Amino acid sequence: MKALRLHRDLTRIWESEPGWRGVFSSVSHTDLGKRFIVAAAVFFGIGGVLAMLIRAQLATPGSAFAGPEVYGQIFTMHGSIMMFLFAIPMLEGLAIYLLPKILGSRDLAYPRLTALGWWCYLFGGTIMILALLGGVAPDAGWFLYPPLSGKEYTPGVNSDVWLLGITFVEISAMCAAIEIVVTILKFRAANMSLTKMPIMAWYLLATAGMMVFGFPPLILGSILLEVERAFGWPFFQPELGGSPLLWQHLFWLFGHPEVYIIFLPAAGALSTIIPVMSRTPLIGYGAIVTAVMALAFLSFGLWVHHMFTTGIPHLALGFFSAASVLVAIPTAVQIFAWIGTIWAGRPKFTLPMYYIVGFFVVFVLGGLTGVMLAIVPFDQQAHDTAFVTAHLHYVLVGGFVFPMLAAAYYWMPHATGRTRVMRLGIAAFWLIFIGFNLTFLHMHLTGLLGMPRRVYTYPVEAGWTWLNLISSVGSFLQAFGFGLFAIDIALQRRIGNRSERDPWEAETLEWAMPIPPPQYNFASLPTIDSREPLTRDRALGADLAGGRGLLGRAVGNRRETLAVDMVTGTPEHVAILPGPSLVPLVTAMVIGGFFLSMLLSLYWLAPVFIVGTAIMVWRWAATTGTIRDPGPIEAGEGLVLPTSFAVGGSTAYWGSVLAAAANGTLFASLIFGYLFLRVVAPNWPPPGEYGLYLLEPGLITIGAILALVFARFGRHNFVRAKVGAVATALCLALSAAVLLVSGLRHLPGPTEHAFAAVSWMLTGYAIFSAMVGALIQLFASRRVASGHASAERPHGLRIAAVWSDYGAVVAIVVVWLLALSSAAL
Amino acid sequence: MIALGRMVSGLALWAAAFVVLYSLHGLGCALGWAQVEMFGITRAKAILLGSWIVLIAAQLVLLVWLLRRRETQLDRIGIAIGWIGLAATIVTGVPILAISSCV
Repeated sequence: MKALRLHRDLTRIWESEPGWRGVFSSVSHTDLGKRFIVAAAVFFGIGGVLAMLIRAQLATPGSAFAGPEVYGQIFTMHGSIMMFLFAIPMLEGLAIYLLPKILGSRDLAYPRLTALGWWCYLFGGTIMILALLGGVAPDAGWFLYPPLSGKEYTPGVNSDVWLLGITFVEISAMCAAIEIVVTILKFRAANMSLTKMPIMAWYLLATAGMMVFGFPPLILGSILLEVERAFGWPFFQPELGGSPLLWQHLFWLFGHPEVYIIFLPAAGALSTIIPVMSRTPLIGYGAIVTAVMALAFLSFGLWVHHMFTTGIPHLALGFFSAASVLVAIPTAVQIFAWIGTIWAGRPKFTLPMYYIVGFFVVFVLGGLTGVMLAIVPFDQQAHDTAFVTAHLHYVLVGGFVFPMLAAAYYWMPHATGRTRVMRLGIAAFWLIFIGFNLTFLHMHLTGLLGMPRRVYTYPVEAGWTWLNLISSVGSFLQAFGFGLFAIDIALQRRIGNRSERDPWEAETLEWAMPIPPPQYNFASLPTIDSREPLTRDRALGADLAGGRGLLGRAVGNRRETLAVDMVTGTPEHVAILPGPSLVPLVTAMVIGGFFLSMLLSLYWLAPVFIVGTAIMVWRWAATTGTIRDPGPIEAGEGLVLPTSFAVGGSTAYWGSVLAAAANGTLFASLIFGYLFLRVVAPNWPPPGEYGLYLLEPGLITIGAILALVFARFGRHNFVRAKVGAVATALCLALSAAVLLVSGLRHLPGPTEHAFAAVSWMLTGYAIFSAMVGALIQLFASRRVASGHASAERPHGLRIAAVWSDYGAVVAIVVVWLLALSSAAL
Repeated sequence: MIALGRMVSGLALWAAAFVVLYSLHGLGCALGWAQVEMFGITRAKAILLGSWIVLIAAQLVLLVWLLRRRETQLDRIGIAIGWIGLAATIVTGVPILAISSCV
């Protein structure tokens, strides 16, 4: 009876609002995770249809099916959709749905941020698809190289759709990345130390960390290219001191880690599923964690292997070639650990295992051709041929799609509470597996025979006809396979029989809850003493449902979950999470307004939406916190813990630190861009007279240092906190004003030369950062006045200091960089 | 957070080493170091070689520091990552020995 009452009370607290309002205001990670997955699957379907059109066009030489303009849109959108609207959101969806469940938590760290990410993804993706339907989709390839994507060769909005739509979607990725890192580090079951985490959590931690540092270079590149297209700032124009190679660097600084960002969560699914299907523990947990970390770092040292033919000096190519070969080793460590696990166990050949075997075959082949392409002379032969197309599909389909199909069958009973109904899945597997290899295996040969990528047609004399025809036949087989898979999943969702709670006899915590899962996940939260909690205690699920764990009660409307020490998992405080809200939706709409105004060239309107976004964020933050000190909470099992309002190291603080780290990566990429152009680009130095200037740098340094000092005013004596916050804001605002004056006095117009363009971009970034810091400090002063921040609840001030410190440091770095480099011109 | 930082320090140092070598290479080529001789080799190669050796030494020092504590699995993973960082620093720098700097 207690279990039932607890279920009713917790459902009332955690469920989304009823009706349509609930659709728009839901912050449930289960709902939003499913939405991400379904939307990503829909985008995969659209990308798949485009792939069919590509194969229809290339099936025969001289095809009249599509002209070059339309074909350009088709292959560009195929790649862009698969990478940005399918693969990344699918992994985000999996993480959003699964993470709290495998960690023994009730929700993610920032439920409303999850919702914001969802709406940004949906709106950004919709813009892309509408552009496709309107015939104005991007058509310069999925990596949008200038000068082809520049204003001169793409005068329409096609490239703008990519730059703005993808950047909009990337907001979602950044939200997810920060959320995943903080959730893994803070929202775990009691006593779940880092090395007792399920292996999937390590994979997702590495992936999200990579996203925090991997996405900002592309976001910066997109901003620069859009500004060049919209306002004529010549970042990528060699005749004015720019360089198209800068785009390639920024793109692949993101683009190569991206391959591992996609692969690692899929590998996490494999490391989770293989031991369950093999009925034995995973071999080499520590070695796999080490390998995952190695991949996360090494993958950032490979990006130039996409640029081996751009004329970069051979020694630099050598650095990247060596790193490209090295990265195969940690991948191989995982492959051997998985094979060893299957070898040591008693494998059940269930449907997920079919896809796992498919993964081994396809991905290993892709990995081997990857090692071939890492060797510079071979790459120079095969670059931009169909060989690379075949390689990347073996890697991405093998490394992501096959594992995700296995994951879909593995976790479907969890999400739906139902079992499979027919044997359609086996037929789907064989169609996909045979179809895939029929499409791409001999495409390696097509490439080696000289067929370039992205050509819309080819002559009969080239001798590629039969190879292309077989590829096209294979691709349609694959399409039937995916169609059958979709039918199989839909049937399971609609008419499958009820599944038992843990149908695979798995050992991780997501199977210790009723399925399909309730909105609160666990009626009470587990305390963990092993990596396989269900092996030790098969009754754990029933115990938790009966409230015999931590926080096994309902208090008012308070959404409670446990926050722990990052390393040891010792319970630290009780996090109070926000409930349903329309604020994320409205914020996403306002951000969307900015992107649309840029897309429609209504540049005068864009600042209105920037201000609107600031207002929404202010409003968002204003709804958090409390003006009362709730005091410690009885959490069960004798634990008495403070609430998140009363602790300094709150999740909001760590989220801000990560956001600042991502921001810092963008800033570092901008400085890299400046130095790159200065060292490598032609037509430097810029025309004109330049020299050292010290007045503005001196003033800004004083202002920024004062801001750093004032931000710490309330740290030891809270009475001074409000004065300190206002003074910090004032110093930052004045520094921003001096930055503007400095730019106007010492820099030429931004359209004259890349030097001026980058310098203005740096100045603008510094002004923006300082103003953000100032606004957040003003907000902090209001919080002190309203009683939301107090000596007992000071974390709002700590968060504000993160942003004002960042703005101050950026202002100092930018003004001195520009002053000194101006002197050196 | 400190324990996590310690765990990945070997690879973080490799990342820093990679940035240093790649940046010095770009800078050296732009400043004409490949045309100036130093110790019988080009200045570019000499500076890159010297930097590489210092970075390997730094990895060794870090590894010795990591080896002093091996109580938890996190420590042991950190040590393995320290070895990987050292190996990666050596391997990614090997082309300095064999390839002309700025061709």
